[in-house]
Amino acid sequence: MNELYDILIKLMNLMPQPLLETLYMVAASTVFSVLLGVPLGFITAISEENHIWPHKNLNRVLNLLINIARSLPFIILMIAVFPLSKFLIGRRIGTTAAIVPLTIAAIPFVARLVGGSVKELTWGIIEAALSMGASTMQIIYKVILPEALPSIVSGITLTVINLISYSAMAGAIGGGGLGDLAIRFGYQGFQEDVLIGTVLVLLAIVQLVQFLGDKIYKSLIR
Amino acid sequence: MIEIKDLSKSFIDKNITVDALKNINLKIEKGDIYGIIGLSGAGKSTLIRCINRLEEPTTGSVLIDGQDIMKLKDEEILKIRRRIGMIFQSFNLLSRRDCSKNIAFPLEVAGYHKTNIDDRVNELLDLVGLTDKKHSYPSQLSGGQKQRVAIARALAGKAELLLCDEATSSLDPSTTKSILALLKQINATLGITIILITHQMEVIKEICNKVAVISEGEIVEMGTTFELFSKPKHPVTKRFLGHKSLEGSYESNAQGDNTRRYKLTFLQESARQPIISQMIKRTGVEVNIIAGHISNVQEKYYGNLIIEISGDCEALQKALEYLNQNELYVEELVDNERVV
Repeated sequence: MNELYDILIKLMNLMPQPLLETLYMVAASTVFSVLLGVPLGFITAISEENHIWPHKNLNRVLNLLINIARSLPFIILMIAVFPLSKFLIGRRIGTTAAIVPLTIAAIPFVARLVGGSVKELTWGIIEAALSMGASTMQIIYKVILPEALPSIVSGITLTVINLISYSAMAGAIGGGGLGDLAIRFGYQGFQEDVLIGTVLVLLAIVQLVQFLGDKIYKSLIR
Repeated sequence: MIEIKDLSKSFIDKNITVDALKNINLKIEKGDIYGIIGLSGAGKSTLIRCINRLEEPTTGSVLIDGQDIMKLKDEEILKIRRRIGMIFQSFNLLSRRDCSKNIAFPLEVAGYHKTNIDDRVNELLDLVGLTDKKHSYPSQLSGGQKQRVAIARALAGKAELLLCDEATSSLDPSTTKSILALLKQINATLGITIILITHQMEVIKEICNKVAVISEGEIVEMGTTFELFSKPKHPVTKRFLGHKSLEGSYESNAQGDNTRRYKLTFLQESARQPIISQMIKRTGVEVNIIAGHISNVQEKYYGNLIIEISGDCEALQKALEYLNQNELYVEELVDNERVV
């Protein structure tokens, strides 16, 4: 009993800082990747040949870029964007610097999911809007965005969960966070209690995110 | 008035040119309920979409009140589309807007002021009889109710023309009737011209005053609905009317030089006279009645009778002359026609 108490005390001391770091990294990279990935997903979808804004070449280029970014393993991407992190944040490593590769990894992911959400809308509702004289912008804001929103929310939920797992890897380049804690104390320091505690906390976070995501999704569906 | 002139549309699919529409010419007068009937793939969906330029024809023109819409710039197309309502087989309502917001959509798009939108929406809900469903979402409505909302939405911007793309094809027969009645009422009270495409002859029969039959991208027959029902000429039209069964329902056991088979169509006046018995008395031919029925199209009656006449050459000739003198539509049926 005493032993368990000791473990809890230890975790309570160790946990807050890395937990906050993880939440910070995930929150910031989610915001940036949604801000950039959602419009990118929209553009890739509507620039397709038979959609409302056909631009064949632009569509090809964007799809190629997304595929390139998606095919890079995250661990390689993290190192590859060091110069960019240095340029944007002023540092190559650290919690804030890790937001750069996390965002870059998540943008194409968000774009693909959002593009899919847009493309799976029934063409009929877009055609109906066209028949009523709606402009391309009006169709985007009044038809596609609201109709695809529930599906986009599901996509963002998925992205957040992915980012939680990526952020654990960010620990490897000095990003801090729960992944770093698990590796340094749990794995390298042979403190299994810390390892298990970290995993449990991560599990709780993922569950909570999924739960909230589902809740929002359901409230949007009519 | 809408005039479609020499309209053609071809697609290129995998290096093969497909002619979806070939040289279409149609005239739709103000106040018409004009039906375009055809099988799926006949080109009717493409045709109706050329009227509001959801499809771009390859050649030809569409004149709306004398204005060629093929010459319009992009912004002008948006404006003209706001004057043309359209409804669809699958309703195409926005799932995350309630009825009132769905009906408000075209008004928002056209930049109406909010208070005007509210008034107009209430007016339209009343017109389609869904005032109590104002705040219901499409998923809470039946198919017929969804189509009513779609009709209200299509008319919101004071449309003068309503395009109906298989508007009743996914509805059950009684709902179809009520939607058709609503369209008829809109046509009669608001003077809105309606162009509808369908593969259901009952829809044409119920509300259209004029009809065109389209097959493989071409208009094969057109006229008033009564003309088309009582005197169909093209095989495709006859197939739509189900004439095959009537004409082919009997295997003749008296085929020979002295027997002819005719299909007689009695229009309103001739239906009252004893033409067949007069013919027998005057010419001495024998008549064998094979099949017959009486139909009505929008309160106008016509009858079809299939008979075989036997007699010598001279008598047959006389009989035919007699039939032709009366207000009958006479069509000789030969064997190969029965197998069509």
